[in-house]
Amino acid sequence: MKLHPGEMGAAKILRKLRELLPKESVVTTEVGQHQMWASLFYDVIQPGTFFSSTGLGTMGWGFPASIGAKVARPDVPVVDIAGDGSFSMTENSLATAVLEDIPVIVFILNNSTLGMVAQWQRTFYDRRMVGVDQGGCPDYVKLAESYGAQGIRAQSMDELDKAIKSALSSDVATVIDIPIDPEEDVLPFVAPGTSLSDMILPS
Amino acid sequence: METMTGAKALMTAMEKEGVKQVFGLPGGANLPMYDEFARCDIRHILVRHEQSAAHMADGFGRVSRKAGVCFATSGPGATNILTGLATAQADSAPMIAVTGQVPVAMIGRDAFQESDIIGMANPVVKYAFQPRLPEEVPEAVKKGFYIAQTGRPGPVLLDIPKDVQQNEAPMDFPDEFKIQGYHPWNDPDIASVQKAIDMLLNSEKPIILAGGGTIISSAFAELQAIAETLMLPVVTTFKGKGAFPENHPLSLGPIGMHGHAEANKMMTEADCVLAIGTRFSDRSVGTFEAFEKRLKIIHMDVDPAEIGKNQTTSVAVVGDVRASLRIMVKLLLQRSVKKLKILFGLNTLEKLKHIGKKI
Repeated sequence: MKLHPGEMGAAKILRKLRELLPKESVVTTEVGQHQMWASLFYDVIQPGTFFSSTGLGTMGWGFPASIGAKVARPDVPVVDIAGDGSFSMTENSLATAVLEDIPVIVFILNNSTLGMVAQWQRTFYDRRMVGVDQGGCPDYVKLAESYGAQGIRAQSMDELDKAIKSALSSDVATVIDIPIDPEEDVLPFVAPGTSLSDMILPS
Repeated sequence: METMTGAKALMTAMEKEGVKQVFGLPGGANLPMYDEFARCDIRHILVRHEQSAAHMADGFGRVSRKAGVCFATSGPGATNILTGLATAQADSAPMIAVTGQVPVAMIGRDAFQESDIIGMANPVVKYAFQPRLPEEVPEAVKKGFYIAQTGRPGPVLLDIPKDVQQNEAPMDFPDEFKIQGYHPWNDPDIASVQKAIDMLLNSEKPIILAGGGTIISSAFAELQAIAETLMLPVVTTFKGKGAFPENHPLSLGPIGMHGHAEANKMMTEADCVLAIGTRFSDRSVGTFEAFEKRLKIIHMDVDPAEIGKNQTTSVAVVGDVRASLRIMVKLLLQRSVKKLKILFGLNTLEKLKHIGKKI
C-alpha cells in the first residue's frame, strides 16, 4: 500500500488548504478517502469547526451541509472537502448555493474513482476493480460554470495556492477540482474486525 | 386565543423558536405551509432534492447548535429526506423535518403521494409527531424543538396532513408543557467524578478520548483545562476531531480505522481512559474485546443508554459532559495542594487555579 510520492499527494494538498484557511473557517467533508485524508492531514485549530457524516457515512452529505453551515456562519469561510464520487450525489445543490447567494467552497480531491472502495478492492480483493471507475465524468469546472458558480482546476501546488485564494475572495460558490493519483491509499489503516494494534502502515 | 390555520400556526410557532430560515422543496401536500412564506419573515431556501434540504438543516444545526429546519412534501418528498434523518440521528444532530401528508381522511387509502413516513422514519429519528387537528400544531412544534435540542440532540419529524394545515382553529401557544418519561438532563453524580479522578491519578498511562459529545456540549475549555492540568495526552474519535486544538502539544489526533498512527499506538498502550461523549464506535476502537482488554474506562456521556453498550465501564458519569468536566476541574482544585504539587509541579497547579477561575 502506498502514499503518493509526488507533488500532488493528499497530505500536501490538505496541508496547503490548512495553511491558507483562517483558523475560524468551518470545514465539512463528504465520505470516502478524502474524508480520511482530511482527518489525517487537516489539523483543526479552533475547536468545533470540523463536521462530517461520521456515523452513517452518508456520501453527498458534505456539500449541502456546508451550505447549511454557511447560513449559520456567513462571517467565516466554509469549505466542503470532497471527493468526486460523493460530490456527484448532491452536486445539484450548486443551484441553491448560487441562487440563494451562499458562497461555499467545494474542494474536490478528484481521483475519478470511488477511491475507498477501490482501496479495499486493491487490499482485500486481489486488485479486482469492479464498479469504481468514474471515467473522468463530469468535468467539474464546466459543471460549476453551468450553474453560475466559479470552477477552477488546480494541477500544481502553485495553481492550488491561487485557486484557494481566489475562492476565499469570491462572492459566488467555487468548485476547486484537484486531479490526484487514483492509486493513492489512505494510511494508516486498521482493517475492519481487527484491533488498533494491528494497524497497517505505509510500506 | 387567535383563530388561524394549522399552517399559520406552524410558522408562528417556528418564529417563536427563533427560526430564521427553512431549507425545502414544495409539493401538493405542503402547499398551505408554503403559502405562509409569502406572509412571514422566515426565509425559504429552495433545494433541488429533498435529501439536500435535510443535510442543509443538519449542517446548520451542527454549527449553530440550534435545530435546522427542512420542509418536504408527502410521498417521495418525505422518503427523500429519510437518509438525511438517519444521518442526523447517527451523529446526534438537532434537526426538525416538516413533511406534508395527505388529508387525514385519505391516510391508509394509498392516496396519491401518500407514504407512511412516520412508520418509515421512526427507527431513524429521536421522535416523530403527526398532529391530527390544527390546534395540536403549536404544542407539537414546541415539543419538537425541545426534544431535538436537549439532552443528546437528534432529528424530530413533524408530519402534518394537508387538512390540518388548511383548517382553522383557536390557537394557544403554550410556554409550559410536559413530556412524560423524557428526562434529557441528569445532574452528574459528584461521587462518580471523584472516583474518576482517583482512577486517573492512580493509573500509569492515562489518556483522554474525546468524542463528538465534547463538541456538541462545547466543553472545549473544560477539556483543555483537565488535559493541561493532569498533562494527559488527548486522542479523539473521528467525530470528536477538533474537540481539542490539533496543534496543541498534548494533541495526538483521531484514533480509529484511519486514525493517526501515534494516536492509535498511544491508545493501545494506555491503562486508563477518560472517554468523553463517545459511543465507542467500532470505526474508532476496532474490535470491542481487544480495546477494553487491560483498559480501565471512565465514561462520561449525556445518554445513559451508551453506558456499557459497546464497552465495559469502570466508572460512569451520566450527564452533560461539560457539566461533568466542570465538576472535575472544581474537585481537582479542592484536592490536597501538597499532593498535586508533588504529582504535577507548582506551575501546573497555578495554571489550574487560573483556569478554574475562568470557567
